[in-house]
Amino acid sequence: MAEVLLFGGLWVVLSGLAEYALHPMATHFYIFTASNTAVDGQKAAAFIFMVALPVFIFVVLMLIYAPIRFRAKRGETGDSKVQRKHSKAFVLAWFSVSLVVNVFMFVHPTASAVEGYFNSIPLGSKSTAPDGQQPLEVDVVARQWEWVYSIPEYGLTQTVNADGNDTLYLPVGREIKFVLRSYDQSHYYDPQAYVIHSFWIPAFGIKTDVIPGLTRYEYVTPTVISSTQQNQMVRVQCAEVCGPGHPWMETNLHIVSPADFASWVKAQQKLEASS
Amino acid sequence: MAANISQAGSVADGGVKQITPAENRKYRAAFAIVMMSMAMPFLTLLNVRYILAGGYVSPEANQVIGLIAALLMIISAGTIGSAVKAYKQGNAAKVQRNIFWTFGLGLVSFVLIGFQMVNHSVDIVTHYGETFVTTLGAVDVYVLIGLIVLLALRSRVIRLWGAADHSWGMQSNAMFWRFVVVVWLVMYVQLYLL
Amino acid sequence: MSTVPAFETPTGTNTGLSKGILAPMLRGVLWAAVGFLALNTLVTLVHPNVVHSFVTQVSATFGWIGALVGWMFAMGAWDAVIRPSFGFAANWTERATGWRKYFEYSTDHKVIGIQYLIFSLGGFLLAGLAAMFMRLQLMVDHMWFYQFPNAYLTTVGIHGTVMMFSFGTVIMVGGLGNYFIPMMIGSNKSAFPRLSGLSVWFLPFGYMTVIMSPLLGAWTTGWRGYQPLASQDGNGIIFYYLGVFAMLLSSLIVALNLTSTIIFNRAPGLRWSRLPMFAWGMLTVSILNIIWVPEILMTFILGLLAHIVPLPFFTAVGSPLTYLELFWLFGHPEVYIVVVPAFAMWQEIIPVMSRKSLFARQWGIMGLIFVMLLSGMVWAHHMFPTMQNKEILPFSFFTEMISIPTGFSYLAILGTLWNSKMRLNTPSILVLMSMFNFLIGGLTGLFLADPAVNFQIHDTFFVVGHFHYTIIGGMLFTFMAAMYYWLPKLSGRMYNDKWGMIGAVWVFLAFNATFIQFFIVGLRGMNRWVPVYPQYLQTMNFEISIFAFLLGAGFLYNVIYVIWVWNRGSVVNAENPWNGKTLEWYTASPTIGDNFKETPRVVGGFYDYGDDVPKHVVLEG
Repeated sequence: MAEVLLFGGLWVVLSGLAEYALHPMATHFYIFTASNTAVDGQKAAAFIFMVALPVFIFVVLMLIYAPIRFRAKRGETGDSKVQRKHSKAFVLAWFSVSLVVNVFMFVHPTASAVEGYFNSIPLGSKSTAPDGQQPLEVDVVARQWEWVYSIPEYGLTQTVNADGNDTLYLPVGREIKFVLRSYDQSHYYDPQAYVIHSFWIPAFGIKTDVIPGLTRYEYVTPTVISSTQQNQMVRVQCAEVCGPGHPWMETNLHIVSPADFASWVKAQQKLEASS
Repeated sequence: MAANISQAGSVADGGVKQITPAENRKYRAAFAIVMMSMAMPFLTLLNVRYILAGGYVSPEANQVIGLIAALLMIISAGTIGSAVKAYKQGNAAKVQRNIFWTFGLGLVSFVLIGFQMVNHSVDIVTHYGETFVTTLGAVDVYVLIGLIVLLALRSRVIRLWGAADHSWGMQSNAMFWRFVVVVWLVMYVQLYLL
Repeated sequence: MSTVPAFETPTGTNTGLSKGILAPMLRGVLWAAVGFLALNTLVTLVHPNVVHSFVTQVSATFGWIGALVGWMFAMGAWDAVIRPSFGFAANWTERATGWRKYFEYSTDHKVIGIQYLIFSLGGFLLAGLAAMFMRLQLMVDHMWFYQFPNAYLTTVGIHGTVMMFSFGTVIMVGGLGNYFIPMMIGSNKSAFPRLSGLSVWFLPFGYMTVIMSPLLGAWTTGWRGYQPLASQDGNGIIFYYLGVFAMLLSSLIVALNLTSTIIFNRAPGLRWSRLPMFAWGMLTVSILNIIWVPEILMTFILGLLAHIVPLPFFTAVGSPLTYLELFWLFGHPEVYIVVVPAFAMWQEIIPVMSRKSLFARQWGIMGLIFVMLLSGMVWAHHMFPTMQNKEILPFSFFTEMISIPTGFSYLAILGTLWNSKMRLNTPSILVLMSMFNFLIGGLTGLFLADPAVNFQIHDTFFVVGHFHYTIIGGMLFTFMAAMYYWLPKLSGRMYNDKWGMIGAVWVFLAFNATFIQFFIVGLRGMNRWVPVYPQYLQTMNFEISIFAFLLGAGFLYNVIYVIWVWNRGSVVNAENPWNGKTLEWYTASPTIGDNFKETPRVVGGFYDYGDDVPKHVVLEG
C-alpha cells in the first residue's frame, strides 16, 4: 500500500511540474496563428496535450520505476514472491478512466471544435458570416503545379504579383469562402489529367484536399495582418503529392487591412484591364 | 498422434489412412473461411460498380452469351456433385466422366465470358464498361484456376486411385468449383440484370 | 489436411527441375527471365503499341506474370506442388544440413521461418538504404543528391513500400510466426508445409520488382499508390502494383497457414483458454490479413488497369475518393497487422523476464481481439481533409475508442511489472523501450484523431513522426527484443548481454533523437513528399539527417552482431536459459528435424509463475 502511495505521489508531483513547465510549449504548437481556425485548432491541441501528459508520465514512470524497484538481486533465482494475477480495483480503475477520458475528449475538443467550424459557415438560413458581412469568395484552381486565384466579386480572373507569379491577398477580419477545384485550364478536355492537391496555409491551421471532379469549400477568417516575407508560416503550400512539381507548388500570401485590400484589388483590376 | 493431422498417409504406411468425419467437418469449416476470403475481391468490385455506375446496365452487354454462360455453369455445379457421389461409390469411370463434363462446361463458359471482354461490344471507357470488363476478367481468372485444379484432380484421382483417400480432395474441389459458379451467378445478375 | 498426398522418393536423388548444377535461386532467376521474355514477346506481337516498342505497359504486366510463374516453378512449385497435385511422384528432396537449405524450397516450418527472416531483413536493409538516400537529399534545402524530384519521389515510394510490405507485415508474422507457432502449440508441423514453403519465394520476387520499378519509369505517389496521380504517373507504378501484389500473396498464405495451424494442430490439453499470447497475436493478425488482403489485391488491380488501359475509375469523371477509401479500408488494418504481434510479444517476454504471472491475461487477449475488430472501423481517419466534413465524426469516435483496447496491453504489462522480480537484460529492456516509443506514437495519434488538429498536421512530417514511432518504436524494437529473446533457441548460441545492450541503447537514442524532431518540423510547416523545403527548415533537417545516419549505423550494428553470435557465439549450455514456460523451450536449441520427440500434454497455464506452481507440461511418448 505504501508502495502504491509513493508511486502515486511521485506521479502527481511530476505531472504537475510537467504541466507547468510544458504549458508554453502546448500553447504554441501552431507556431503562428493567423485565423480563427488556427486559434481553435491550437486550443484543441493544447487541451489534448494537457490531458495526454499525465497519462504519458504515469506509464513512463511505471516503466522506469517498477523494473528498477522490483528488480531481481544479482544471483537470485526462483520466481517472484508476489504472484497477483488479478486486481479488480486496478483493472476497473484503468478501464473506467480510459473510457471516461476518451468519451470526454470526443465531446470536447473533438465534436465541439467540429461543431464550432460548422457554426462559422453561412449555410442555409444563415446567409451571412457571424460578423454580418457576406464571405469573400476566392476561387482557387489547383493544377500541376500551380495555384490560380480569382476573386469573382471584383472580376479578377488570376491575381498575380509584379513578377507574374500567382499570389493571394486577403482582407483581415472578413470571412473568406475558398472554392477549391482541381483542373487544368490548359487541358480542360482531358479528365485524366487532374490529380488530388491539398490547399494548406500553415498559419491558418487548416487544409482541404482539392479533388478532381468535385468542388469543395473552406471557410476561414484571417485575424492577423502578416505576409510570407514577415512569417514563412503565412504561405500557401500544396500538401498532397501531385507529381514531381509538388515541392514547388506554393505561393506567397498577404493578409492586409481592408483599405490595403481595396487598393490591391484596384491595382489588379488595372493590370487585368491592360493585359 | 491425433494432434498432428497435417499429412495424408503414404503408401509406405501399409494401409491407406482414411479421413475421419470429425476431421472432414473441420476441413470444411476451414475451407469456408478461405472461400469468404476469396470472395472479398468481388465485394470490392460490387462496391465499385455501384459507386461509379449505379444500377445501370448497358444495352450493349450481350444478354444471350451471359445467360448461356450462367446456365452452363449451373449444370457444371451439378456434374461436379455427381463426381463426388461417384467417388464415394468407388466408380472410377463415372468420376472421370463427370469431372470431364464439369471441365468442358467450365471451359465453354470461360471462353464465352472472355469473348465478352475482348469483342468490345461494350465501350470499356465508360463507367459501366470499365466495371463490366474488370468483373468479367476477375471471374474468368477464378474460372481458369478452377479449370486447372479440376484437371489436376482428375489426373491425381485416376493415377492414385487406390493409394490414398481422395474424399477431401473431391469435396474441396467441388466446394471451390461451386463457389466459382456462385460468384459468376452473382456477378452475372448484378452486371446483366440489376 | 492436404488434398495432395506426398510421395517422397526414399533415396536422395534429385530429378526434374531441382536437379542440376545451378544454385536454386540462380535457376529461379533464369526461368524468371525466360518467362518474362516469353510472355512479353507474345503480348508485344499480338498487341503492339503505336511505336512498336519491345516492352509496352501491357507486355510488361504479362511479362511480369510470366516471370513470376517461371520463378515460382523453378523454386519448387513445379516439383513439389504442381506435379504431386496431378498425381506424379514428387521427385525432389530437401537438404538436411548447411546454409544452402535456406536458399531452396523447404517444407520445414523452421527453415521457412528463417527464410522469411533472411529475405525480410534483406528488404529492410534495402529500404533502409533508400531512407539514407532520402535523408542525404534532405540535408540541404535544394536539389543536390538527386537531380530530379522524380527520382527522389520514387525513392520515397520504394522505401515505404518495401518497408511496409516486405518487413513490417512479414518479419514477425512470416518469420517468427512460422518458426515458433508450431512449437508453441506443441506441433511438429504447420498445417500446410508445402504451401508455406512456396509462400516465402513470393517475397524476394515482390520487393525486387518494386526496387527495379525505376527500370520502367519513375513513380511519384509514395507507398499508397494514390489514384488519380498513379494513372498519369510514369510507368514505374506498374511494378509497384505488381510487386506489392506478390508480397501480399505471401502474407495471405502465411495467414491461412498460421490460422489453420493454431486451430488444428494444438497439442493435447492446449485448450483455447491456454493458448499462448503470441498465438493470439498471430491469430488476430491473420484474420485481418485473410479479410483485407484480397480486398487490396483487387484495388491494386483496378489501379493497375486505370493506369495501363487506361480506365477512368478514379479520374475527375470517376471517383478519386473511391481509391482512397478502398486503399485505407485495407491500409488501416494493415498497420494493426504490423503492431499487434508486438503487443502480444510484450506479454510473452515480460512474464518470463520478471518471473511473474501475466497480470489480467484475459484483458490482454481481449485487447488484441478488440483492436482487431475496431481496426476495420477507423479507416477514414487517414482522409479527414479529403472527405466530406459531415462524415468525419464517427471515424474520429472509433479512432479515439481504439486506444482503449490498445491500453489493455499496457494494463497487462504494468500489472505484471509491479511487485515482480525483474531481470533487466537486453530483451526486457528492449520491450520497455518499445512500450515507451509506442506510447509516444499512440499519444500523438490522439492529436491526429481530432479533426480540427488533423486539418493542420495531416500530410505533414507530424504524421511521418507518428507512424515511425508506432511502427519502428512499437514493432521494430519488439522484433529486436524477440530476436535477442529467442536467439539461443534459434541458433543454440548465447550472446553477451553487454554488447546487446549497447546495440539497444544506440538504436533507442538515435531513433528518438531523429524522429521526435519530425513532430517539431511538421508543426513548423514541413509537408510530405518533398526533396526540398523552405530555407528556415534547413538547420533542423540537417541534424535530423545526422541522427538518421547514426540510427542506420545502429541497425547495422545489431544485424551484424546477431549474425555474428549465430555463427560464432558461445554455445548455450542450457536448453531454456530464461526459464520460459511456453512449449518452444521444451525443444532442442537449435531444433533440427522433429520439434518434439515425445508429444507434450499441457496440464496448466503458460503464464502462471511461482515457486510452488506444479508442472504445466507432461511429455508422453
